[in-house]
Amino acid sequence: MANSKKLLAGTTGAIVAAASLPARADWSLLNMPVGVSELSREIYGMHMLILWICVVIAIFTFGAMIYAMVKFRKSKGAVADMSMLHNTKLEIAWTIVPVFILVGMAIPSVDKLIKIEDTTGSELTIKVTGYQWFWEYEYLGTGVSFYSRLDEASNEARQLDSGLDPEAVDHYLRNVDNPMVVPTGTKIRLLLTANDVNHAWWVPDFGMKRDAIPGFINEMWISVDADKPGTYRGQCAELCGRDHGFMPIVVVAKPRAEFDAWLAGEQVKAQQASTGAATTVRVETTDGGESVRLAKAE
Amino acid sequence: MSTAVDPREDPALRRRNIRLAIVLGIVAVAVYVTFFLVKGMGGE
Amino acid sequence: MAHHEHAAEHAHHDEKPAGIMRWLTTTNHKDIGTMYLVFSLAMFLIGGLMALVIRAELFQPGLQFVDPGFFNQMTTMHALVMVFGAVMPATVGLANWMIPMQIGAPDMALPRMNLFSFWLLFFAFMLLLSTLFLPGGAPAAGWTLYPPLVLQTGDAFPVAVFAVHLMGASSIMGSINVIVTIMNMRAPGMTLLKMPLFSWSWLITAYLLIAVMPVLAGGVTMLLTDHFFATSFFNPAGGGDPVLFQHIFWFFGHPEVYIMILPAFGIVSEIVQTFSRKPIFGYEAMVYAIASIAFLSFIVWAHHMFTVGMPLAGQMFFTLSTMLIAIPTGVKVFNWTATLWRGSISFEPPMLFAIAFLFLFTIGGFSGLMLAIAPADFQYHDTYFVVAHFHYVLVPGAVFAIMAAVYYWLPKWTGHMYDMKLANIHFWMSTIFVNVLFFPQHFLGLAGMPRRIPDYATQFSDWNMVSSIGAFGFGLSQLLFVYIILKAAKGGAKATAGVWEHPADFPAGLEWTVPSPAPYHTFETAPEVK
Repeated sequence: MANSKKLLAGTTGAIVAAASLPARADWSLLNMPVGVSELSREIYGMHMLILWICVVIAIFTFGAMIYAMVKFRKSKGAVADMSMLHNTKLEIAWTIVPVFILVGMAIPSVDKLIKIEDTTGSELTIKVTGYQWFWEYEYLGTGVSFYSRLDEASNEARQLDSGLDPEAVDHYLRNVDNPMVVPTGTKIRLLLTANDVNHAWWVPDFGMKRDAIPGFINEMWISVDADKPGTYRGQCAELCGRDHGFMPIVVVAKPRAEFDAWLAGEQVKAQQASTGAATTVRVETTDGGESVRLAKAE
Repeated sequence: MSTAVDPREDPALRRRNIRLAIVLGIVAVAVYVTFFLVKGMGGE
Repeated sequence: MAHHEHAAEHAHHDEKPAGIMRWLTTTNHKDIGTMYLVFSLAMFLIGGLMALVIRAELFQPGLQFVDPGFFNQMTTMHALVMVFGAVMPATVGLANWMIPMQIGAPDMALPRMNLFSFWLLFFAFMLLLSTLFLPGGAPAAGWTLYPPLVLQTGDAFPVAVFAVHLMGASSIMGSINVIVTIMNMRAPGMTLLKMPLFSWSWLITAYLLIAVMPVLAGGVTMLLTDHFFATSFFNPAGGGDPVLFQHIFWFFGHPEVYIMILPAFGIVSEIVQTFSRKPIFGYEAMVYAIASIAFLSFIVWAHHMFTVGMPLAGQMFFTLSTMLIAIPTGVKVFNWTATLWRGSISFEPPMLFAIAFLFLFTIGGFSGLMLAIAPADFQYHDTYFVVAHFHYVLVPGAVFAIMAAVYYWLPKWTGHMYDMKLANIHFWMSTIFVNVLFFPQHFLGLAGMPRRIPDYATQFSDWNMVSSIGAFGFGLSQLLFVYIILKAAKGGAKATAGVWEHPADFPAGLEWTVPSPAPYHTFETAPEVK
């Protein structure tokens, strides 16, 4: 019987066939992005390290299995060797050797964890709040804050039976009205929380995701390479209800000077808005204290 | 310890079976209750 | 024969009522096992239909068929039905049929409780499935039921919680039955370390179930009181902690994963040795490996929660403890390979499925090892990479092992050989399509597609299309499985007692010493085990 060969040929054939199908197959659709920060590159390196270790182990184990299936077939007259029931030395070996391989993986991963969790020395803190189903970004200490929602073009196309072609929409489901803006070459601390249910903030190019949980504040840090300004996209990564798939994250990374100019502009806008709000408060004071508090809370 | 008599014909085996089942059932209920106690002490 | 001497005494349980009453009132382990297996097959098809709704919607970007809310109900119900309705009852059905026959017992130790467990499970699922028709629809917060989102469920909420309680009670009673049967009812000479590995794997699984099902029940009870009685176990508005639920859930959930896979390990061990015509390599190491995996499953739960913002020490601990699981799992894979080594291998359908298990479960094991590494998990977490991982260990893992078990023992159950040619076709179609279905999901996850979304950015279109094609191919292949089973139940070539070849120097286990189909009552006098 040629079943063992068929098994191998069938399985690999299916994978190869599947792999050759997509017309636009390129590396970025097959593997994790290297990303645009020191952290993301280290995480990518960690990923590739374990991937290759697994590939090597797979070659040995699968190789042995395939060899056994080809060589020790009854149809080829193989007779079972009843003396091969256990072998203490061999069994100890394949218990101990993996321990060393695992230690080899554990050391760099612990090392990277320490780095990932170290949020000290950040120059800017942005508070990120998840809502059903949009984000709020608050640049702490600057008075700048705004909401960030799915852009209108995607929103129209994503309706059930909209008849619109998602391929025709610019960055379908990965575009927002107000993107988060960050300076490049700067360590930025993100404080994550949520207003209603759990969400998770994730931009693959920054290498990290972290949950935004109501009643709790989580920390993470990002730092975009100084030479890599650009627009980076991600989306909510924790099931948060009906429109979980429709709360994208867009981060525009600008050189420091441009960012400062942007922030100054936003601060002016925020001041104008709050002066406006103050006017409202003054008008409503005549109605009594209750409305004043409400207006301020807005 | 090992028999293969149908418990329906062996009252002694039947008793042993039921006794072990009750012990395991108590363990299950105890795990359930423990969870509330742990949360009750930790949460206040 | 002893049977005739006692005939008068046990006439009362030798005869079985005809028709529907037989199935409603039976306390026979074989009948109950059959009911569990049929129930599981039905749930496998229902859960599969839900999966096809999901894959149809994901065939291309944009929403074509379902509302996002309904999509979430489908992902949630698909998981609950497959985990609690298909995989677990299938292994319970196999346990009911095979454990008494493997250890030389006349029946399960507590036959009435056995029947009660089955009907509890049945009604639990009627309740759970009925939530699809309630106002607000079925639960849609994922099978993990994370608060606060799950507290937004409509009328389905208390029904689903009650259903989970019933399932839990059913599983606990089923496990008690397995433990008592194995501890008290083994044939003379059948010491624990002579027991077939399938029975061993179930003994350990049963202990796991008793330890963790009450934890899930406790967790969902707290959800219930948060929802209706204004407690604040998990409600942040009242000072509760949503992350606490995740800890409780995964303290149940990780052992639950092994509850599904350990019986599969047992099945594969039995089949690999039979068709290599050589006893399993390192039997005792296999038993200890299962026991170590079961133990480790209690100290790794938070690797499902690396992104919740745990202390650094916690992340390190759970990374390292999770990596340890690779060691006993490796021992199992190496021992299976060594069993094949210098054997005399033939490739009947059960062996084909067992071999596919060896390869594809191991791939799932590798992705599991990758996910254990916390820094890399920050990228993998909640993406399709995770979806690919757990489907590789559950579908070509647990489900293939269950199919292998059906092809292995079906002649013993029905007395007929099934259509080998069709079974081979079923194997090849399942194996090819399962890879077309799940392998591309690794790519999707790495490239940045989150799980549990009904619609996606256009760069993910191609692989989603491939995956959906695989899903429909896999789904259709399973109709063939149903047909093969029905055909064998109706008739076919007579099966011998041994069914498969058992060489003289590797005697068959006890289940192969009774005729096929196995008589309604086996081992009324204890067999001698040397």
